[in-house]
Amino acid sequence: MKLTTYEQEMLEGKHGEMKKKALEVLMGLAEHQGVEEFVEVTLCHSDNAVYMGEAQAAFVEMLGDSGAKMAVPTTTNACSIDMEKWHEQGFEPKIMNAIKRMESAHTCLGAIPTWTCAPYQSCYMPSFGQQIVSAESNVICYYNSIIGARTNRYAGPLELLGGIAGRVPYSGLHIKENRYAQGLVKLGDDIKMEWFEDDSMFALVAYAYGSIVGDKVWALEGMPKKYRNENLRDFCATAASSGGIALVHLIGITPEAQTMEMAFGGKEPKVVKEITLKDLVNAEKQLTNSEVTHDIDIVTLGCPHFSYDDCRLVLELFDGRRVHDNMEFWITVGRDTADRLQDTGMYEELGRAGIKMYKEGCALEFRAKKRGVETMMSNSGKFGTYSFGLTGIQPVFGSLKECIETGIAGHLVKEAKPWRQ
Amino acid sequence: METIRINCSYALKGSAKAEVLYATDSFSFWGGVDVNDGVITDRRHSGFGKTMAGKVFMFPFGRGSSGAGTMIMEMARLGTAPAAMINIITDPVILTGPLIANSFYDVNIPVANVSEEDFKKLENAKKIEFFEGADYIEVTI
Repeated sequence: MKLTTYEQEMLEGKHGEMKKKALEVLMGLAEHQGVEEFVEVTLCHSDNAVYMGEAQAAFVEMLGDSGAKMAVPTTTNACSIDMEKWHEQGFEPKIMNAIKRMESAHTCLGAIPTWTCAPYQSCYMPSFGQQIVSAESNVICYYNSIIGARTNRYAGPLELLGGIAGRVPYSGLHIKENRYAQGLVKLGDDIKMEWFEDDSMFALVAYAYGSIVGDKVWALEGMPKKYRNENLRDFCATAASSGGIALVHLIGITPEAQTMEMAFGGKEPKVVKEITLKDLVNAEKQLTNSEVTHDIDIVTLGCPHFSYDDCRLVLELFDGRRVHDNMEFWITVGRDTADRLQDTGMYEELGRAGIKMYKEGCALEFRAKKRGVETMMSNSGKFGTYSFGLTGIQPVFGSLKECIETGIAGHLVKEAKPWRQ
Repeated sequence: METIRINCSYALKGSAKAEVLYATDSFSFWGGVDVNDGVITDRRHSGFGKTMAGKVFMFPFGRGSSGAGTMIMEMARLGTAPAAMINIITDPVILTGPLIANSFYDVNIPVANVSEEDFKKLENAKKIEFFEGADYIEVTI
């Protein structure tokens, strides 16, 4: 590899043991990719706080204790728990302890304590064209696609090593030429634009897109120009779950795809495929476990974390009503959003509507199964994709409005839709 | 029983010999496997219910959330990790686990990449052996 003087010094251990080891692992990756140089990064999003056993806690703690510092501004992903309400969420003290150790370790490393899987709704985010390093799939897809910053799909804790070394192999999506779309997906004529007034369309189309495209860089034509940023978040999170999507070009929407020519670098799409109503019917089936016989135990929103504006919208839709006594209703947000909601009194107002507000954690981690929860409803394509495999809890998918009406009614409320057959 | 040699590139070098768990569909370690025993828990996956612990786990490419590296690290720590892996393409998400397990946990999980054609050929492989420094694997069918 072509190393700069500074990188050579890192390898020799002149800038600390951890920078040396970090660079060694990154070189292993570079070797596999046939990459000859590193690229400096300007931001790291650390995905090292979901409890996945002792390996991660011990690893991150070792980095924190070593005295190493992040070389670049680093935001922190969602952890497993609400750091204050972990007991009510069914976590054992052992897990709280592991999370607290990882929290401390990140503080030692100099990270910004955002504790959210939606850092783009937080206090610090990259700008167009910046080289960054992230290991959270929805963040990778959002920063690459919606912002136009550049990261590959890294796996925790590699991004932390990239942030400590301040560089990653110059490969893949870090390079402009690799970011052009190869194939094109179009929305079929049997899909009507007005259906997008239902926010669940973004997750359903994304699920189909991820299933068709896999892990490639393609473009999608025909998405509505009217959307909330949160719709794009939900699209990215779902497409990165049903497929390995790290970058999707939404023609006329995302910055590198304002035109077809921009998205394809002046070339023609090599492949053109179509998403039709049939694909949406399949997506709906995949996201709602067909074996569900039990009624909804919990409605959960905020996967990825809900934004301030999502919470405002929830209050609007609740319209003074309350969650039914038979139902639990969760909203999970990042630490910054929780602070802002507290500033304006909305955190309390949501609580008064019977909603359990959680911050910092991940609803896919909360220990609901062990207190007998069988079925959870969500508006999230990501939750629908992972729930059963991770927790054994059956997912039911619905729009934001349906989730709220279900929470208030105390039983499943679903409207007739063209994709429900 | 027949042993054949298949050319490959090693994404991570090492030696191993084990039975095969073969899957034709992509795989997400996060939400897809119980780290305590290595059993696949994703009901949509073709390997649902089978264990990858101590096996040569074959799947074409990685999918989904990026916790894969840490899941593999934890499996390495608990002794439930695959003995080796074979993909058509190994993306950084998957490779991170074996790379860090190698440097920080002293557990070697060699990873090989084969062509799509060879990947299909290996569907009925019984055992596969990996060799340090080689550019092939040996397959018992």
